[in-house]
Amino acid sequence: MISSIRIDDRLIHGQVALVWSKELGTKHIVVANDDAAVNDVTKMTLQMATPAGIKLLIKPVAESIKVFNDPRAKDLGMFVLTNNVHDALEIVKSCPGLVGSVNVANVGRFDESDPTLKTQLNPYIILNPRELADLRELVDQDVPVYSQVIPTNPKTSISSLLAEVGE
Amino acid sequence: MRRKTLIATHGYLARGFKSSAEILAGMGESIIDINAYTDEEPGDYTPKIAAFIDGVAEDEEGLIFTDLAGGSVNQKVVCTLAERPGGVPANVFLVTDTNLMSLIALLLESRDLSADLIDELLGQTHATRVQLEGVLGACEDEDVFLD
Repeated sequence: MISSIRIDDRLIHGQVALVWSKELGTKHIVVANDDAAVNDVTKMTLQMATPAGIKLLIKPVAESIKVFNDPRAKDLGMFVLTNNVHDALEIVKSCPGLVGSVNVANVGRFDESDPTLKTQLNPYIILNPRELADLRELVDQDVPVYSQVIPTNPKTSISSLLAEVGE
Repeated sequence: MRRKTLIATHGYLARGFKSSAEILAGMGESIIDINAYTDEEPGDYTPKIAAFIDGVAEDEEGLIFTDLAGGSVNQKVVCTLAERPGGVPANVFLVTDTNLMSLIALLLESRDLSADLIDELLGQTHATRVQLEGVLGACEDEDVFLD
């Protein structure tokens, strides 16, 4: 099972390593990202950011999906990180019944796409048209989708944020 | 148990800790900071320490962080605690040589605090030299991960 997928353009960083791993009580973090999986420097920094006592796996999205569906992963309560909506949607669609929730935390600010075409849902979620379309598809899946940067923030439903911008 | 937190340091480190704790954990705003020997805190700050300790009710926990075991700020807290009429309160804990990791680890702890629990939480929060070699390996192997 995946207790939660977090979409965060910084993947593992201070908020995630210190705060979320504790909040979720997880011992297993998976970074599902095609670029990170082939970049040794990125892998090294992610490994360093992972707290002691927590196992980290870094895989391309397609390979991570195989791991999520592995019978050995059934009872793990994994915490999964992607850095974009598209990858999270792909995981949700390929792991039916295995994803507890999706947290759209920090996304789209650094994707270097045309800023004039982007839609801002809140200060932390600024999406290009393709990501926005994927987010609409994501909220239609049978999984709670919300935004919560740190645990002391309230959970904001993504459907309501989309409604506010007329989506 | 409701927890109250004070950070007291030489200079504005206390305010910096508070700012970082707010960004990382959303828990900075309720922290009281004493930034000793600065323009805003040029005089004796002992009354502020005493007021904080007095403000911790019997059914609450008080956490005080200072920057340096040998520093005067820590000495002032130790003296204030030790000389308190009625003795050192059992529900107030003093941590020194504070770093951000130790601060966050204790702020985030949801269990009631005890000396043993605090010692355990502080165990992995020391400064560490970063090793750039030999870090990789395990993060690529799903059999290790799933084992």
